Amino acid sequence: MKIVFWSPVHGQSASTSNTLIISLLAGIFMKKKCLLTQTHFNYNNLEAPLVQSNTKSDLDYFMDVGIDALVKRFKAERINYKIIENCCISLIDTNISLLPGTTKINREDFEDEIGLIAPGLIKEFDLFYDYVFVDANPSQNELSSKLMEDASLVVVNLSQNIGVVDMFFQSFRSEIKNKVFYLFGSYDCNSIYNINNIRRKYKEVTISNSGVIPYNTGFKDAQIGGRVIEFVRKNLNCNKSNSNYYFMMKSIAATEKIIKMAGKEQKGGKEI
Amino acid sequence: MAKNIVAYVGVSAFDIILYLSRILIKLDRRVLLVDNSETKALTCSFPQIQGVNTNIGCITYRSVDFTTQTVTYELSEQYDDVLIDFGFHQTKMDISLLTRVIYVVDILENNIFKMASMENFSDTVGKALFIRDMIDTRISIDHIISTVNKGISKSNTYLVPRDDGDYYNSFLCQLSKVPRFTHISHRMREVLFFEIKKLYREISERQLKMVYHKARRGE
Repeated sequence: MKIVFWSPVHGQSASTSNTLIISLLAGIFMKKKCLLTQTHFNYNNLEAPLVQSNTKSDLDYFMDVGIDALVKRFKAERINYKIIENCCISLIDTNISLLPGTTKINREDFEDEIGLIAPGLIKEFDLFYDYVFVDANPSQNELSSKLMEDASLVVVNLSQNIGVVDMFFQSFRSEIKNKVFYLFGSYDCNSIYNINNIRRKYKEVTISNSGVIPYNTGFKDAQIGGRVIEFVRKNLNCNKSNSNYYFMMKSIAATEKIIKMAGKEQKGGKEI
Repeated sequence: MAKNIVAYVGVSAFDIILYLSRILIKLDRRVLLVDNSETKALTCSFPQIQGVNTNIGCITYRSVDFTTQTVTYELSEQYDDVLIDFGFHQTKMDISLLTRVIYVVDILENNIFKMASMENFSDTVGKALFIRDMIDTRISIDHIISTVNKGISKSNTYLVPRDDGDYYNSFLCQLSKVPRFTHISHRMREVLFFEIKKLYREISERQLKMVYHKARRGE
């Protein structure tokens, strides 16, 4: 199942953070085999919270792995599970393989190449993984549009900025033909623009196709420190007295809904 | 139907209603606040949201639902507690849904006479009289009770002295739209405890104190 995370705006909807937490919970909590990747060229931060390095600042770390290496192999031969895994960084005890983004420095070259190959490449992943999570470029982007066309589920990342939500429904909604899940990141439950009122205002946003990822200082700090996996493991079974309880509870609820919508029903790691 | 549907009739009691809702939320109750008053004081304590009309629907704010529509049986079924501010407004609501009525006056004669001229909301449900903004005037409480003429005994009459801290706290609730009550008077606190115990007799004093302290910050 391919799940594409996309946002109508860059930098406001916590799209990459949301992709991280949802994929981690799918792997660690629901114990499903996942591949996590992204198609951004730069200004993205998918790898560093997981492995403490990102593709533009630490080229040695990502030598011979990543989407560039996989694209080369894909052009040369039919890829198999071993080839994909060799290009990924396996995140120990998470059931997640991370396929790092590009290290190329020429945007045009990257976008030309990846635009042609990525949709076909990502289709291949379906054969080997239960869920493929793709953090796609925000706003109007040809590659993102192609990825969303083939996706089992498009997770539209929005914020509590009603201007952005209005803009999405006016300008982008009609272009997405597949199933859509609305995910509100950096969520503040004390705002008047809480999820209950958003569902009342926008009838298309319902209980079953929407969720929230609350703002959480601990998770933010863990992202900066490259310790998100440790954060999720430590807080997975936390109780109400833990300050991260609300964040974990809502993130797990959103993950379960997303997985259910994508096509395979899950509850607490068991398939039902 | 909701366990408690309480009407507040008379002068403004929006602050009491707001504070009670915070305590009830901490007791894990589903709460609906309704503003059917002519002053709209309770409405001013909630931020507005474009695209949701509270005359026909509800909004949610800090775990409490709010509406200005008339309460019906179907609406009340979704909640544990419904607190309604009627003001001096004659309601279109089905009065038989009410489980409790609180008459709220102050010591001003016009308000006492206005209350006296209003019809009794109900003779069958529990009722109480709150006399707000009490100052040292030697005015007889018995005189107020008999003039108001709602069949309420002295034991169900509660006096709330005028307090600048209470007034300031209610002003802040409207200004900031955050329902905190960290600086209310001791008497106001007693009123809140009195009401919660009437609504939920099984709650212990200890539990009530605990939730009160959690609820004060409006979170």
